[in-house]
Amino acid sequence: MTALAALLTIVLPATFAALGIAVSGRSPVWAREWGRTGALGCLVAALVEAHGVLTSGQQARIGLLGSADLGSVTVALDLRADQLSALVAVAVAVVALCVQVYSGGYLAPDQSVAPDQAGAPDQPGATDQPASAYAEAPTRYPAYAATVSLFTAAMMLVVHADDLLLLLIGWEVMGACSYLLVGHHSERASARAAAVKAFLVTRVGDLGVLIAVVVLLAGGGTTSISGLIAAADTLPDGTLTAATLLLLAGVAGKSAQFPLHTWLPDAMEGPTPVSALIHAATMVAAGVFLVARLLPLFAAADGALAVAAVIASITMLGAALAALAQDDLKRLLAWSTISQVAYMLAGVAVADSAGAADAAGAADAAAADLAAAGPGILHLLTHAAFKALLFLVAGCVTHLVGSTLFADMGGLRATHPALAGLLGLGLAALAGVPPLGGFWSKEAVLTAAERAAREGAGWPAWLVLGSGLLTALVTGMYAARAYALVALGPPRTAAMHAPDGEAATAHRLPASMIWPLWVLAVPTAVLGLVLLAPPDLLATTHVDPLTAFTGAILSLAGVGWALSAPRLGTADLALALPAGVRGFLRAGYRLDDVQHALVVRPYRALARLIGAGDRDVVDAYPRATVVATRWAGLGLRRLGNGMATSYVGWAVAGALVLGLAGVVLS
Amino acid sequence: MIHLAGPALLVAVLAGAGVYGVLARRNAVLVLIGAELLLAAAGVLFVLGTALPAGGLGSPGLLDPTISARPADPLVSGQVATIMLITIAAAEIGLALAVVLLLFRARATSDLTAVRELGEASPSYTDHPDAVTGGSLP
Amino acid sequence: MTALDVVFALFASTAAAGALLAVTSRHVVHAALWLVLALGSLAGVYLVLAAEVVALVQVLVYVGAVVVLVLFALMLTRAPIGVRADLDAAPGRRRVAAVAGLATSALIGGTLLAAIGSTAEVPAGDGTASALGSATFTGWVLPFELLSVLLLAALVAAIAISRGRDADTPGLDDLAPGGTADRADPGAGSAAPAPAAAPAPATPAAPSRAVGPDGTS
Repeated sequence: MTALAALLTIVLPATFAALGIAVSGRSPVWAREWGRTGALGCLVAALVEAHGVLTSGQQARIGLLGSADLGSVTVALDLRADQLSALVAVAVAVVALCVQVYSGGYLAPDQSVAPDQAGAPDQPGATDQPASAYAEAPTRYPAYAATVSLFTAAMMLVVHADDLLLLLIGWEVMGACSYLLVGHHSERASARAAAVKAFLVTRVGDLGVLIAVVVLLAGGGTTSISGLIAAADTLPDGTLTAATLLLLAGVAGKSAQFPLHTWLPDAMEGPTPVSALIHAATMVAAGVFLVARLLPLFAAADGALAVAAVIASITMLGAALAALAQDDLKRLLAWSTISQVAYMLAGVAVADSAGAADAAGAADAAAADLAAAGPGILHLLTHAAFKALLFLVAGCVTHLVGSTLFADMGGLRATHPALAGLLGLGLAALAGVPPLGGFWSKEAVLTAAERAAREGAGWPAWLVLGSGLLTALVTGMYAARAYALVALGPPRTAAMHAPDGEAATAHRLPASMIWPLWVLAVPTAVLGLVLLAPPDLLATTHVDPLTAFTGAILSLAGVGWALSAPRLGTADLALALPAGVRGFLRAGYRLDDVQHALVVRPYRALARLIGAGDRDVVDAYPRATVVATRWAGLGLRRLGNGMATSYVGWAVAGALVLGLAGVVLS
Repeated sequence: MIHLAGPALLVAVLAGAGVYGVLARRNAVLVLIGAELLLAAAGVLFVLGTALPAGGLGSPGLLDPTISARPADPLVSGQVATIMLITIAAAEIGLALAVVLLLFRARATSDLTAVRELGEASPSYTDHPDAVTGGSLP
Repeated sequence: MTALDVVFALFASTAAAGALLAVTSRHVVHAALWLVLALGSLAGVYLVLAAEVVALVQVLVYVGAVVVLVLFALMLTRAPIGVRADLDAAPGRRRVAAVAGLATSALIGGTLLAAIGSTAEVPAGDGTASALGSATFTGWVLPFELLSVLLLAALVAAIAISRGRDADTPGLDDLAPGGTADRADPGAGSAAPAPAAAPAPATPAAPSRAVGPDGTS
């Protein structure tokens, strides 16, 4: 039963993706229903799987594609269903279902203007004729819904894979789907550029994963995850270090960690539900999941977890500061995702599997290994809930305002109190305000770091702890700043002025965009309760009261600072920063420029060089034959002068040569 | 009997003169005279050829005097061939002179260097015949 | 050196001299007459080589018919009487032609002399008419028939070419510049007189028609 459910979580979305394309043709309504049905089936399967895993234990080997004979090694393409995969699968399925339902309203066929479209029109004619500018979008909805389904299936494959090759397949399919979805509004040049950037940057990391798989295959002789975990202590040090560092590169790319994080803020060009999907459940979480899955390997390798801790510490604080300066709601949420994913990575990086095993008293080493990743995974789950909620709320706000800029927002609490309440709930969870889900998971991460630091894990744990506490303060500031800008203050656009006026009816939110918000609000609020009766995975996840108190105080300080800023005279907390610093942070530390200077321009120069070489060296020979042939033709053409006598002369010369050759050769 | 070297030299001289006549003359009739000399050289060679031992010039009999096997009637074949050659030459020159006359009627000249319409350097040559005639050629 | 050798040397040297003069003479009619001398001497050479019938045919066809044809052609093409400088090509081309002629002579003569060596002699043969006739109509009868077809074809072709523009079929005139082929409609063009056709068609047609009987006699 568990095995079948685990299989279905992958097969159902994939099947419905294919069906959505094949059966619905160009009808967006059918495509929408196919996509929702697939997501619903996937959620049911995930719930059944979770129930089975929690009641009757894990299923280690579930056959999917048989085994692949690669010559020197036979790869068993198996799945597994344990608590880690089941819990993440439930989160993915919930978010995917909400996104499918929400997208039906957000990208509705009968919708006259797409908010994203109206926000930044690319062509001059787009604003003049919104209907015609969006006219082709409905025909693309089947492809959109199918891609979301495929995205879900790929993430499910990553979650359940018991073999690195299978995991790699899902990993790469996710990359392709993210390219398609980020570039959904392909009529806009910025969307195309963002899609290409997301694809290329994550591809850099994916290369690391690919090489890591090869290294593990060469060093360990297997790609089976359970096999590798069991052999983690016996693998050669060089293999382990190389493989884990290469995997970290892939994790940094997929999870948008420094220095491969630059694609995520730009990926906001995609439709907002896609952002919710990528940030909350699928793509970004996959990196952390990979570390959690292979945690024994990372723990056995020298320095790999320290590197991960450093990366996470830099990323969480830096991204939080960058989020503070953003002037665009979606970009703020994107930076907050980078920061929160760094929390997860930190939670996994400070894991002490030996201590966790002692604490759990579990005989099963694998379960203990999993339990060590508990804080990070718990934050992944809560983050999935509140970040999906936040993005979907942001989509509603964008829908109302017609823009994603803070400058166009304000006064939501007066016009749409329920929406403002949901936004506040999500932001409070993001900031870690007790007793919401985000509070417990964040404090669990900080507690783990603090315990690791005190138990002698060394400077990485202290770094994580310090950075995490600072980030908690900054997170509270930017979360509250976003709330202040969106919900407080006077309404700034016509749609938000009069909730029952003419404009409001034109922009009435469809029901399909409302109830996913309430569905997501429940886990956002109460997911912390899971710690009362924790499954084995979270058995060692504690929240230390002192640490929790410190973190909560810092968060609340930040929240209070930002919320009180309007009363103190500055409507926007970011305006308190010096203009230069604000611009620097808003541009993401100008890392894009650095990237441009260090990678893009040398690469382009190299491409030009190769192009020139191809044109001037390689092609020179074919062109030389052209020139030679032309000159030979000109020369031979002079022979065809129309003089019969000269023709005869050449014939005689030929006959003489032949005769002479005959005499000489005979 | 006479030595074979004499007719052989005669053939060489006639052929050389014929080639020179064909290449050096401008008047079409005189070019034909050169061609006639070439044909005459071929005729002498035919008569001479079957006077040789069986197998012709490449046979061992020529180099080894003790072998003197000959066809049953060695000379007759060559002579018949010569007669046929003369006949063909007559037909050829009749036809060729008709062409020369036609050329003269068309151009009022029999100078071959003045008739260069088939060459690319001729005044009427063009890279795009369709553009000149205004339609596709048959 | 027998008497036959002397006679052969006389005929052969006359033929060679006539040939050389025929291709170098600057007088058109003289060139034709030198050709007569060369071909006549060649008949003598055939006699010395014991090919009586060939010699007869040589005299009959070449000296009798071909040379007459050539002279007629010279007249009809209004060949200039007297020494002319424009019969030959430019000196450069003449030098090239001389080199080609000498090379041909050297190649043929050298090959033949090298092959013959010094011992072989022309054997006494049977060149009588009866031997030739029986050979022609036994072993050579198929080529002979083919040759008759060739002569017929040449006859018809000579008439067709030289008859000119008094028929519906387009002649060579129509291919000349300014001829009818350059016009859009070939059907209409064949009826109109071509401006470049200088002489009347009847004049050259008469001797051209005589080619066939003379050439095949």
